[in-house]
Amino acid sequence: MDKQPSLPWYGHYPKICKPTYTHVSHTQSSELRYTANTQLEHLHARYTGTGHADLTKYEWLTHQHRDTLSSIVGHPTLLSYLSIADGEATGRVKFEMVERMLQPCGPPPAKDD
Amino acid sequence: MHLYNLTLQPPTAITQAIVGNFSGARQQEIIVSRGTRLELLRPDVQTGKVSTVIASDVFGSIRSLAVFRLTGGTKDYAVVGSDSGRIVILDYDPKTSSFVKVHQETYGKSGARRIVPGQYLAVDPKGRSLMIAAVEKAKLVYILNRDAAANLTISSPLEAHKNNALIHHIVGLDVGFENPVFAALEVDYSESDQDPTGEAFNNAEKMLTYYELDLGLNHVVRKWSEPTDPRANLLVQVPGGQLGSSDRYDGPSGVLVCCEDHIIYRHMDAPQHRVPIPRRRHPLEDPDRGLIITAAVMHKMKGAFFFLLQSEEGDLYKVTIEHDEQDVRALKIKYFDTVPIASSLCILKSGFLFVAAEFGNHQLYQFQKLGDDDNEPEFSSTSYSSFGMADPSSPLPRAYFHPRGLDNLTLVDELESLDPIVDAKVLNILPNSDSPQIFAACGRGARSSLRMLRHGLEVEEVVSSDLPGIPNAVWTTKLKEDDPFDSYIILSFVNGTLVLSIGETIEEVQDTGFLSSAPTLAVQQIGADALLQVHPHGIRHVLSDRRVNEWRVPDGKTIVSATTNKRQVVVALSSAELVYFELDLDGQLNEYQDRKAMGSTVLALSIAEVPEGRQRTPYLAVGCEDQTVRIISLDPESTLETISLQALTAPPSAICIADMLDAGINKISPTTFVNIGLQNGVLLRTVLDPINGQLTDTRTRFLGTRPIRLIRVAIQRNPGILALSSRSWLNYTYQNLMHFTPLIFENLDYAWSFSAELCPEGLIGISGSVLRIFQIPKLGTKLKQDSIPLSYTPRKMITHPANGYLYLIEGDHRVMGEDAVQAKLAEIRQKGQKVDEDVLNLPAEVFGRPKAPAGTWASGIRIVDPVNARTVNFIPLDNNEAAFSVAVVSFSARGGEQMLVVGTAKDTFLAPRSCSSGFLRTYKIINDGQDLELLHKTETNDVPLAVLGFQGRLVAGVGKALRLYDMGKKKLLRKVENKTFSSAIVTLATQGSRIIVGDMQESIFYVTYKPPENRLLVFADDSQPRWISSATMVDYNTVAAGDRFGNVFVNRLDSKVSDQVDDDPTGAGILHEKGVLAGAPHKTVLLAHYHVGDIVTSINKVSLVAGGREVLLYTGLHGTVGILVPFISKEDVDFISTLEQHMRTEQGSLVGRDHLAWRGYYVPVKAVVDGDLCETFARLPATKQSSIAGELDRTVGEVLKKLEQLRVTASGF
Repeated sequence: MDKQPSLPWYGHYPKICKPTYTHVSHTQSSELRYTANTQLEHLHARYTGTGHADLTKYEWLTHQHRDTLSSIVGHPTLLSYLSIADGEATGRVKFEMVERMLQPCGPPPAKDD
Repeated sequence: MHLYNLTLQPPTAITQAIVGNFSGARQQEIIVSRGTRLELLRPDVQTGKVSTVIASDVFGSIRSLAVFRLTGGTKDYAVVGSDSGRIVILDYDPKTSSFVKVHQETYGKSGARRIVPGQYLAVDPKGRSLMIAAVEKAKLVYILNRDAAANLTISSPLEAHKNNALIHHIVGLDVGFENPVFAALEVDYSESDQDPTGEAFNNAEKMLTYYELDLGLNHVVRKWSEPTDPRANLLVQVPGGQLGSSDRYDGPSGVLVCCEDHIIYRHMDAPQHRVPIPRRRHPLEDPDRGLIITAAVMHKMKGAFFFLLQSEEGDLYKVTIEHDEQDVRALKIKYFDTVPIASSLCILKSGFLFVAAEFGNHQLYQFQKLGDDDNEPEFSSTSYSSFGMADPSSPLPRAYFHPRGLDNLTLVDELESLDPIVDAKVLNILPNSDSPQIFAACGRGARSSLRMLRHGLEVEEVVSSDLPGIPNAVWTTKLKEDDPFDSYIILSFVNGTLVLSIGETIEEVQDTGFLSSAPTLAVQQIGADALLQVHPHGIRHVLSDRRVNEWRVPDGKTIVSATTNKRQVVVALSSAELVYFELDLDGQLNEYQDRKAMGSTVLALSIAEVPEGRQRTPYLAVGCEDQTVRIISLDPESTLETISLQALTAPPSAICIADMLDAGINKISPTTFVNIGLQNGVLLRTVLDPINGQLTDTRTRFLGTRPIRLIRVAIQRNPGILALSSRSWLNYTYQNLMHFTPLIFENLDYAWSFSAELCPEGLIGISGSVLRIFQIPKLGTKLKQDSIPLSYTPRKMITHPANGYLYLIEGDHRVMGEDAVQAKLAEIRQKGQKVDEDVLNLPAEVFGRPKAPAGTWASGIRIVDPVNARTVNFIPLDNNEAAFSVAVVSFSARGGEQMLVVGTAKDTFLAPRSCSSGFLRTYKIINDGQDLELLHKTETNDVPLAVLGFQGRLVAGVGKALRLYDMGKKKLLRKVENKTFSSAIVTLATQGSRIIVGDMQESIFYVTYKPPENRLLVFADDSQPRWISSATMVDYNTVAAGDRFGNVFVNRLDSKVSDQVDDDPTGAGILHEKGVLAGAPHKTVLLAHYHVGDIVTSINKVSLVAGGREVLLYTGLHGTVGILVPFISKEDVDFISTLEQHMRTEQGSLVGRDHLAWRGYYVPVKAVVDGDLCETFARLPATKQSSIAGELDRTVGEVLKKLEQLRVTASGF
């Protein structure tokens, strides 16, 4: 997970879309928190990439990378930019980007329980 | 600071293209997306030329395009998926020549997001429904139908989402009239996200899933889902379904799944067929590399169909399916031809293939044959066990073909494209040029070029010939009114007239009835079949039987000026009198009984052509020496009465009245323009009111230093005006709007229309004693391109301050350098293997170069002579070194001698950035700049991405470090270093002791060098992160930069801070100042910000018109050339911003993107007005125009004039 993401351009690459956070205040009464949580679950189901309080570093990073990769695919100029740098056809770059979205940051860390 | 953004050249890249009958006529058109623009192209079936019908800025990013036709319809609609969170269905209206938004349905947030649809589009081939999908999860299905009035309707969306699924591609299945089915290529990531062992990731399956839209239940169901090849990337529709009239099936239905190295035919409950993708048998091929299909097109003919698939190398394959009704017997693939790598392929029914190239020029090919009976090896699924699916997880034996030149296709037309512009410089180095040229380093790989762009129209000379003397005027004329072509060329000399006849050859004729012993003032084909010659002593009316009626000037007077049309003649005498003639119904020329005394010598006269169906044109314009232009009536009621008068600033030299269409003024009928050329080179264009003859709406333009001559010519059968001064200009109507563009041609002294069989729409002109016949092939273009081919992708270029040469560095990743190629070939030969020389010698600009593994580079330094457009020298780099930066540095240690420093790196990997060693190569410039001599190489630990001369030394950005080097005997000597930069230094600029550093991720840093302490200190930076792609200093404290997401912005440092830093002799103050926001102690202020929509690759501060103000000219990766113009006055800012606000509400984006949100994509737009949006004011309907103008307290004419003035004064365009 500490592995540098490898995109065909120098250094790091941009994090374009920031995940949306939904804050749940801990001072809320338990009942309220309950309803807020169902809302949150609903939000999570609906909007992939939404963060939450228990988000792990791995999940956050994976979301970031998936957002970035899809943004590169979705912006024709960025796709051209990367394919010129890399010397590959745009079709190939697009394909490899979507392929990488499957697991952009390596396997998840083992759960210690 | 307030800026006005104007696009001089819109993007030229094509990201997608679709073909259809959009106008509803029999002819097919192509709609192309240029990223932020939609264009309708029409290929001419006869000539094979592609012309642009309309182009429209959509103010959004187009991500997908699809075409559909309702069952039984004759007209195609275009569906557009964009970043607006809306699906838009467009209809092309040929009457108004515009795209009409038929439907716009909102489904999600704007922006190119992961789970908001817009990335993929698929339509049912029967036009009953469409699917729009995102990269992940979301798929929406819309049902298309007709209402009672036969209008297109669209349903509310039906969801076909699948959580945690990545979508590679979707396609509509051809199922005839059964329920519509869509196929999707999906991968589920939920398991690999949970499995720390990585096993689930390795076993992740790529699923081919069918989604069926049940039209009866109005519901989408997942009908079928089966794993397919894990490296599948593209789906292609296979024809299917039954024809209504017969029981025969069109095809087997299903999809072609294009995978790495294989093509699989796949359909529900049907056996699979698999064939390998044939590869080039190239001695340098990388055997570990797979081959994928990147573009595909299916073409249906009567009772048959075939596919053309294109690999990432550019090879086209013809794929056919042998089938018996619905059962597939064999899948066959063979090599077809090689064309540039396409972003889209379109086959036209008329036998053309349109290749929208991903980089470089786009091409139109014509099919010569379909590769049916040639010797090309064909690979069939039947030659493998179980149709190639015996073991789906292991690859089939590789198939090979022999690449060759075009056999089945021939190139018929090429659309020039600048895409990609990697770097550009604006210079004025051409002799006798008053406006600068743009030198753009364009293209990728072996198709790269250095292009010189000049403002103006390209002129194609047909023929030129020397004349015995220097003529002062030229005309052409037909003999009869209904002749298709001109018959005579008439040349007027100081003491005589020469008549040439146009036939097989052009030769002199004598018995024409024209007076040859005197110069000519005017020539006209008059009436049905007569000719007219005006000479200083009279008018000769030559009838068809060669009888001549002559009108003679009274003794002692001469004719000084004349104007004619088909029925009227007006001449001015040396006694300042006007004589008016009109043709009567018998074809007799009659003089009007009175002569009009003007009181001042007449310098110029003009009447318009006779309007269709009329006897005469009612107005005459007379320019007099007393610096006035008078409009005089020719109406029978008030003949020769003065109607109006306009005062001028200088004596007129020419007048030309022409009726031209300008949709900005009048949408339907032509407007009468009076063009007045002055002796000081200024052109006035006024509008003549057809009712009362008043002159209104005067616009001025400086054309050149010589008195202007104006000639009415025909440009594509429409009236146009040639204005000749020290440059020649053409005023013409293109796509209903008026254009005024210089001709890039020799100076003309006189010109006229020319029409002959070989050159039906030409012009004829004289320059000195040379007669030239020419035509203007590319109307509508504003920049003429001249190109020099390059070997590899250009990276950067630089001008030499003294010798005028351009030094350009080129480099290609994944390509072997020439030395590596030779070494590898020698190795192969040593092993005793044969090397196929034919394949090796294939031209790289067509076939590309064989792909090598990552970390392999080919690179070189090129010296270009821009004036003569040629390469002077090319110095290849060896040892897998690649050049990344270049600078001309005058080292004070060498007495100010100018050296070329090239930053290179060996074995460079891009991700993560690494190299075995970086180098700063120092070259001595020898041989007047034509050659380079390597002095020494200085090793660096990282890639030097930016170098620059600085105070007699070299400043280099080496990875994260900024270093100062001085000249040494054996290498450059490092003097000082600053390592506080966060990612990598990509741009450098300097003024005085200040260095402006552009960081790859962290925006702009202001650095100062303090010699006493030998310190490089960062004293100011930006408060926002920015991925800088280019930067330039606007002044000492201000910097303009572009970033990788298509923004351009201007930052400024507080002048107090600037002074304080400059006054601190040692820099100790800055060194001990506390940092702000974990950065430098001072922050720059954002002055202006604007989202261009194209990655800005260079910014130049230049003045584009002689004596004009300086503007910022930027170039974009996709071929955009634009300018940012600073406003002069507060009133202008208020006026234009208010106009922009009105335009935002009136002119909705074609893809439904909010304009303000688009221009403020990443950061809210600040202090920049979108001139492209404002200029669409001219295209608005007249009522909207006047209501907006009313809100602004102006007239429509004033608004248009202001817009034109902004454009002309800033750019001259």
